Amino acid sequence: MSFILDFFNKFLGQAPLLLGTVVFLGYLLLGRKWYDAAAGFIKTYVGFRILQVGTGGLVATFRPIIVAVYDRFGVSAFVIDPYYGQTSAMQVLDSVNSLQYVGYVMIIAFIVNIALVAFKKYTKLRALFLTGHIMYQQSAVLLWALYWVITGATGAEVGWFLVIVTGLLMGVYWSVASNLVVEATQDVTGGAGFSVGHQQMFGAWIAYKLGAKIGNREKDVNDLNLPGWLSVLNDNIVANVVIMTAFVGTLMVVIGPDNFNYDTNRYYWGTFIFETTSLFAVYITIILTGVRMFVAELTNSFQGISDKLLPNTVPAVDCAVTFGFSPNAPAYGFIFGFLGQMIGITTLILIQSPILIIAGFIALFFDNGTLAVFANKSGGRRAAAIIPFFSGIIQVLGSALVLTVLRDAGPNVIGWMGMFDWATVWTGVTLLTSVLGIVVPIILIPLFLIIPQLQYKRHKQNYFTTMIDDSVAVDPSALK
Amino acid sequence: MLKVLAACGNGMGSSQIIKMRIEQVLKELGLDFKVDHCSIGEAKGMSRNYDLVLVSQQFVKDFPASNDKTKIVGLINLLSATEIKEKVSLALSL
Repeated sequence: MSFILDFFNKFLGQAPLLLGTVVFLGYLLLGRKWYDAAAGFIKTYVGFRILQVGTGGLVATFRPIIVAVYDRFGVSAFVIDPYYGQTSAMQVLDSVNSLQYVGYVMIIAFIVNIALVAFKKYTKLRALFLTGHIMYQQSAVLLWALYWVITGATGAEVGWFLVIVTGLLMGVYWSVASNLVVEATQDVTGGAGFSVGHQQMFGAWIAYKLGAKIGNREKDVNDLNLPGWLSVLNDNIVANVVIMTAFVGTLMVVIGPDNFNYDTNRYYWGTFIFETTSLFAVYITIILTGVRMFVAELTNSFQGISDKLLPNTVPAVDCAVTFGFSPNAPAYGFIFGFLGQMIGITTLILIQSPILIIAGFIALFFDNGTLAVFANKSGGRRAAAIIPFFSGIIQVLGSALVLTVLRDAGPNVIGWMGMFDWATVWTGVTLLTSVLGIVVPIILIPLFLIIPQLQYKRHKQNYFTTMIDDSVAVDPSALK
Repeated sequence: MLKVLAACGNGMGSSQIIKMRIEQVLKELGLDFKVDHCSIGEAKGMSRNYDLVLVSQQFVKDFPASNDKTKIVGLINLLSATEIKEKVSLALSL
């Protein structure tokens, strides 16, 4: 017995070893050779450790800036970008020896999703969430948020009950939210047979429904010619440096050189600012490299298992897969979302909020870009401008709100997701849980499951047939 | 061996999907291959070392035109094995 307990602590209690084991077993289950499975284990382990180098470096880079802003203005500055949220979650959970539970949350949620789709006759759920990096990220952030508002600064390990509740709620969200946008995604993609499994499914659904009311779908944003410099945004490394230099650089200039420790013999003030702000891109790139490596293995394993268990299910994939069907909309979403976020940030400053938000590249581009794709499909360019604009305001204010409770989780907190569903639904869940306790996530599990039943009632005849076989290719000439 | 690179905005989700689909297609075509994936920003510098670069259609203009060594293929539906097979066969003149 003590051997088993020891194994749970010293082997499966180590996050990278646990995930490596999941991949290893997944590959064996799929009938891969043992050396392939062993290679998968190693790459998962190494990838995860690379990710941890990145999260540690990102906190170390951002921490002095948070401190300097706090000393100067008495406000806490945070970045709204999923990798900053993930970094905060992983660092906080690791500090209470609980990082491995993120893996369990993700596995429970994945099993819940499979089970709900397997019983689609009753559950009316059609889509399987397969976006590996998001699955890990959301499991980490939700576990952190619920742990913190329930347990607080006790330093206690995350308990199994919370792990199971978080896993169930996560799995139900993946199933329900990606199922909600099946029809809208079919319209956007001309029936490409997939759904979105990302961070803004509720947002995309609202954008699609609201777009039809406020715009004209004939005036498509893809009929416009956008300026060429916008293609710079396609380069994520350049975009990260430019955005961080603009925001954090401005903050540093306002705070002034006297509040930073740097070697004036080696640096101009300007080059010191650039070196600091570009470090964000350095660590984000390290994080992405690590996540890419371990998620590639995890996704292969997960997708292999789900293909065997549930052939012909609608895959719910990364939001950016829709961008190919509406190439101008993401840039449109970025510009108007940016304006919205600026108004949100200005509002925070004017009302003297204790939280200052720094915009991040991913929420700006991918989140508002996706909302613009869906809004444009039903309401054309007018909808693709108005909806991301308001989404930008909501992303800032919603994230600031949730950070008022989460910032107390200590010096490891550097940001929050900022993506639409996380600035609305999950902000609400976190705040309600902080008041009412774990009963909130428990009640939400059956409540979420009502949504697909309502969807089914509205179009019973073709509810299950709107899913088109994914082997049907879209004729590219029809999209021109 | 055919060296293939799949790329997307952040090099996370979409390129992973392209990677899984192209592996399926190349296996069907009976070719010997290796597929990597990364972001567009990284791919711009690395594309010369690959025989085939697969990206979403809107990113094709970010790359130098296809040449004898490197073929750039733009995709609309990243999940469609049919579309990938058609376009890749054309690019590799199979």
